[in-house]
Amino acid sequence: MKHPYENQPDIARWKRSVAAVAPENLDPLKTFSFKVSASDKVATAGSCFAQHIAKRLSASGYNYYVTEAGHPLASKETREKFQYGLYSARYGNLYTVRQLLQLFREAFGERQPTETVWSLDEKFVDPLRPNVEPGGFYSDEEVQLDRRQHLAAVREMFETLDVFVFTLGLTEAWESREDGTVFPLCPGVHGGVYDEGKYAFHNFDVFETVSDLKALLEGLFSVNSNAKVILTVSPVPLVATAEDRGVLISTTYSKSVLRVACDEMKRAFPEQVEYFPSYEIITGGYSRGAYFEEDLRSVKTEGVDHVMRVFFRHVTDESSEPAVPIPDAAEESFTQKLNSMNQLICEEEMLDAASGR
Amino acid sequence: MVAFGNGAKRILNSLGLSASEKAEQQPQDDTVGKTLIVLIGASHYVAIFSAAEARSLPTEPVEGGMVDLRIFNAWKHGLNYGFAVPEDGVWVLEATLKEQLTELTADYDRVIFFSVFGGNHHQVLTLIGHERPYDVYMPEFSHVPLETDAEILSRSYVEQTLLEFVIGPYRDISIFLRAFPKFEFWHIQSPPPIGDDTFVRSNIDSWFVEQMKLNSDFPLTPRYVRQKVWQIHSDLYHREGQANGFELLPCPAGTRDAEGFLKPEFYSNDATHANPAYGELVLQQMEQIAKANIDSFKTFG
Repeated sequence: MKHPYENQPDIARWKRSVAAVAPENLDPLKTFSFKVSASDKVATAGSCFAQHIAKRLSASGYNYYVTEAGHPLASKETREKFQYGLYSARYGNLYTVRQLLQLFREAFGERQPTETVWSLDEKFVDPLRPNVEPGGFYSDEEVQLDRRQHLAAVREMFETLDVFVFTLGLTEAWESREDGTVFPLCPGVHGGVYDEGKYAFHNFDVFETVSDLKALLEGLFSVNSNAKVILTVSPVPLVATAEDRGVLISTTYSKSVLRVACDEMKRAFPEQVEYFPSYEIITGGYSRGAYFEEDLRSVKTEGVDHVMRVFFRHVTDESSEPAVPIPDAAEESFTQKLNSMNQLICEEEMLDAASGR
Repeated sequence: MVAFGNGAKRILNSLGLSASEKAEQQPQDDTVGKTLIVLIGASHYVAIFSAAEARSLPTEPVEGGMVDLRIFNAWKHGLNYGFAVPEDGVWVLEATLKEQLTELTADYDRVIFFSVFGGNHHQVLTLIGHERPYDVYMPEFSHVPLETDAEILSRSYVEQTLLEFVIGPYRDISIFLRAFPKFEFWHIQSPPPIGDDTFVRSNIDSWFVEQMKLNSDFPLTPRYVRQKVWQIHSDLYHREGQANGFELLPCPAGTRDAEGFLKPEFYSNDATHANPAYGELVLQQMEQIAKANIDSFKTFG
C-alpha cells in the first residue's frame, strides 16, 4: 500500500461520489450501524425540518410513535391545528439542544422553570411551546394543567421509544436571566414581554452544545437503555441572527457547532447513536442550491424526497423498496406545494412577520 | 360565561336573569308598531310551538293586535328542511321560503326572527361518555373538582371541535341575516342540560342509542362536563352573534337549579329537550322583546 487513500472506496472520494454522480442519485452514506424496522417505535423532535421526517415516516407505514396524539373527540384536522402529532409529543419545535435537555429534565422532575406562563393579549401561552394552542389558552391554570399532561406524555415517550430522531436546528436562543430557561421564541414575539433585565441572548458554543447533547443522551439511555438515536442537522438557515454580524455567517456558525456535536455523540455512544446527513444532502454544493425554494431557505419537496430516499435506503430494513419514489418530471401542483410548505409550523419565521416586512 | 356587550345587556337583563339585573331594566317604548315574531330552526322549536298552541290563540291577526307569532313547521319537513341552497358559489335562503317570508313580513312595522337552528350539538358531542374520559378546565366551574383520571382538554380545543358541528347552523343563520338584513335576529340559547343521570339514561333519544350502537349500560359523560360543554356551545353562538349581528337569548330565569342544570319541572320526555312549560317562558321572553303580548299564532312552511 502506497498510502492510506489508495484502498479507500468510491464513496470516500469526492470526484467519484459527488462530482461525477447525477445530483438526484447522490448518496453520502457509507454505512449505518442499525436498522429501523416497521414495528420500531420511532419518535421525533427538533426544528422545523424534523416535521418532514415525522410526516414521511408516518406516511410510509413506519411506526411513527406519538404519545400525545390529542383527544379523539376532535377531528384529525383540529388535532393537527393544535399541533398534536406534529411531533411525538406536543412540544412544538425544539430548536436548540438546551431546549430538549431542559424538557427532558422537567419531564423527569429534575428541573422546574420559574416562568410558566406568558400573556398573549387576553389569553395565555406556555413560554416553552408558545404556538401549540392556536390563539392561546384561556387561563393560567389551563396552561399549567396542559403542561402537566404534556410532561407525562414526554416521559412516556422517552421511556418507551425504540428510535429517537432528533434534528438539531439552531444555537441562538433567548434565555431567562433568572434560571437559565431557554425559550423557543424571543419573549414578546408571541406572548410575554421583552425585558432586557429579565432575558438575555445566548449563542451556544460547541462545548455547551456537546455537553447538553451528551447529558440528554445519558439521560435518555438511563431511562431507556435500548433506545437508538438518529441525529440530523436541519439544513434550513437562520431566519435572522441576534449577533452583530451577517445572518449567513451566523448560520454557518450554528450549523457547524451542531454538526460537530453530532459527530462527538457518535464517538461517545457508537452503538446507540448514528448521524444522518440531511444537512449535507440539502446544502451540498453538488445540488447547486436546487433544493431550496426562491427564499433560499425553505426546502423544496424534491429535497425532502432525496433525504428520505437515502433515509429509507440505509436506515430502514426495507431497503429494496424505497418508500419515496424518485420524482418524475411532472410538476407538482401549486396547491400541493403550498400545502406542503404551509403545513410546516415554524415559529422562527415569526421574527420576519414581527418585523413587518 | 357569556360576556354580553353593554347594549345587549340592558335588554337581556330583563329577559331572564337575576332580580338585581332585572332592576336595571330600561323603560319600555310603546311606539314600536305592529310586530311579527318568526321562529325558525330545528327540534327545540317544539317546546315553544306547544306552549303557543296551549294558549289557544287565534290563527289570524286580530283587530287592534300588536304581535303575531309565526313558527316554521320544521317537523312537517322531518326537521331536515334545506334552508340554505347554493347559488353562484354562495349559500342563499331557499327561494320558496324567502318568497313566503317576504310576503309574510310585508305588513309589519317590526319583524323579529328567533332561531333554534342546531341547538343540540353539545349533546351530540358529550351526552354519551367517551372511552377516553375528559374534562375541561373553566374558572367559572372552579367549585367543581375536575374529573379524576380524565384527560383535561383545553377550552379552545372543545370550541374548535364544536365549531365543526355548528358550521351548519351558523350558515343557516347567516343566510337569514343576508336575506332580511333589516330585521332583528335572535338565537335562542339551548336549554341547560339535564343533571339527573337516571332520567337521561332512561329517556335518551333513540337516535343516540342507534347511532352509537349502545347497550343498556352505556356510559354517560359526567354531568358537570356536559354543563361545561353546553356553556362553551352557548358562548360560541354569542361570539358568532357579536361578530355577525345577532343576539343570543339566554335561557329564561328560574329554569336552572342551584347547580345550573335544567329544573325537573322543565324536563321533556327525552334527555335533551325542554318541555312546553319552558317554551312558555321563552314565549314570555319574546313578548318582552316585542314589548307586547302575542295576539295570534300559526305555523307556516
